[in-house]
Amino acid sequence: MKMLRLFAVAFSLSLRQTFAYRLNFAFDALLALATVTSFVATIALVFTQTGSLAGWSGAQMLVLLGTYAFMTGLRATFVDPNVGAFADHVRTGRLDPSLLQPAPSVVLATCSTHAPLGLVQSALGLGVVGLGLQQIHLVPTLLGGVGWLVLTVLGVLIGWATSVLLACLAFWAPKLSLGVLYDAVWTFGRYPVDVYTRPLRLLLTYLFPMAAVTTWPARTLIDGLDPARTALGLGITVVFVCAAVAVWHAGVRRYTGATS
Amino acid sequence: MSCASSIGVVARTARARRLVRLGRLSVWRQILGWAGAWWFAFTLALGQAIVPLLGLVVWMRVLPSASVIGPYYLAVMAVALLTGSFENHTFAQSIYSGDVADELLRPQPVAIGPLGENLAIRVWMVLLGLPLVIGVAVSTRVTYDWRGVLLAVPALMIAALLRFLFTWTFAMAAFWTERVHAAVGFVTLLITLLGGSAAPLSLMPPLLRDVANLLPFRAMLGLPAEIAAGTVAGGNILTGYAAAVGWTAVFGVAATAAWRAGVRRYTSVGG
Repeated sequence: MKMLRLFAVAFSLSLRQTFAYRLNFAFDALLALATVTSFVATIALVFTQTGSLAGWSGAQMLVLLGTYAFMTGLRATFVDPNVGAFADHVRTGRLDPSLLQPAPSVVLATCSTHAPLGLVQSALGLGVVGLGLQQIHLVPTLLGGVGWLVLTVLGVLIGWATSVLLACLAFWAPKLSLGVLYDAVWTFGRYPVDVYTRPLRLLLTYLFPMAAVTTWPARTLIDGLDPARTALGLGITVVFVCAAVAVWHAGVRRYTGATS
Repeated sequence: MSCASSIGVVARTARARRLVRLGRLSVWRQILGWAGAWWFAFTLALGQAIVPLLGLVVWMRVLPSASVIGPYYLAVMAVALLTGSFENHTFAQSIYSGDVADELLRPQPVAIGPLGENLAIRVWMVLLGLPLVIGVAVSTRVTYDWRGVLLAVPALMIAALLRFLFTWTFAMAAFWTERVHAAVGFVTLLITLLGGSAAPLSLMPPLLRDVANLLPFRAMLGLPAEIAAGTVAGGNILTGYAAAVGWTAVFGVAATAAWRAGVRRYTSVGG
């Protein structure tokens, strides 16, 4: 509860900072609109040449793309602002305040800054999900909707954990910044993992689980709740979150700072 | 009169030589500077290659019997590595931080700095992205007709120059706004969508293809790949070249105008 309150206070602060510059909202809203439109246009181009992509129809792909945009917006809002400058904080010693305050350091260092404008993309993503569902004439079942929600929450946790794992490399190699690499791999989530070859599919399921971030939530919304898939998603999330926390603590143990 | 004219020619030649030497030094200095961040250049190379790679995977699934998809997308990947431009990060950042003031005081054109850094990053991206390109080429068993590749080389050089001028022009929005990343992010989306990365232009609906042919994005990415893969021929190559040269001239003028307007309103303190 205390963590949730802390999170809410941090978000409220970020929201007020963001809306001090209202023109930025217009810029970012337009960019988010253009981004989501370009996702949809790319898929529309593909479906001018085929009726099905690895077993997904055009409308089902819209559900997946909407989920991808939704998750990307959440990542941009809650994860990226913290891990983006993390290596710099380790290098310059600005990590010290997070370690000295009376709250778990991993939460303070990786969840306390937010970029609320990223939520514009999430909202547009939800719109695209709705458009896809309307084209299939599908009203998701209650279980399907709940399953989608659960899997998206797990997807956010996986996004957070993988970001923290990569960011923690800065404890051992302070100049290492893998944000661009992370963005590149995240892009694979724009398509269902069924599109890729088997080795890549396995990588995207277990090593960098984009399958759990976008493909499985979209599948759950379309086909209904699959307990085995949800359980696997939960298992992967637990492994990644535990690994992120363990690597964080190992990193903090070797971190030294001399704040002036 | 003839003597004065000769002196003028000699002076211009000496100036050109000096600029070439300064440009070479700038590129070399930046290559050495980026040697300490080669891993970052590697991630940039992956970032450039990923969208064409996705295009390759998806379009090979959609049209498994189309033999041009592999050569086309492999060429797009190579073009993306050779023409990637990041002035919205490098040059725009120097405007925000005030570092560009140092460049203004030096007895050389300011463009030499960003151009040198642009070429140095491309050298590193090509070196580090080459194994990926070779790996994809081997796994997809792609082959090219050497005549197509030779015909594509000038288009590639124009694309490299055009992409730099295009990104640099938009990066100069940093003189007026702090949202330069949003501006460049928007035009980068257009390059991906209409430049031939999201789909080869030959597979686009006719109306969209006509619009894409009129805009500069194809000349930055798709045109060299189309020529190398042999998906465009004859008069269409000439039309493509004419459009590429025209757009390069337009963005050359636009970059000069943006620089002159921007530098007039630029102020910085400290040092």
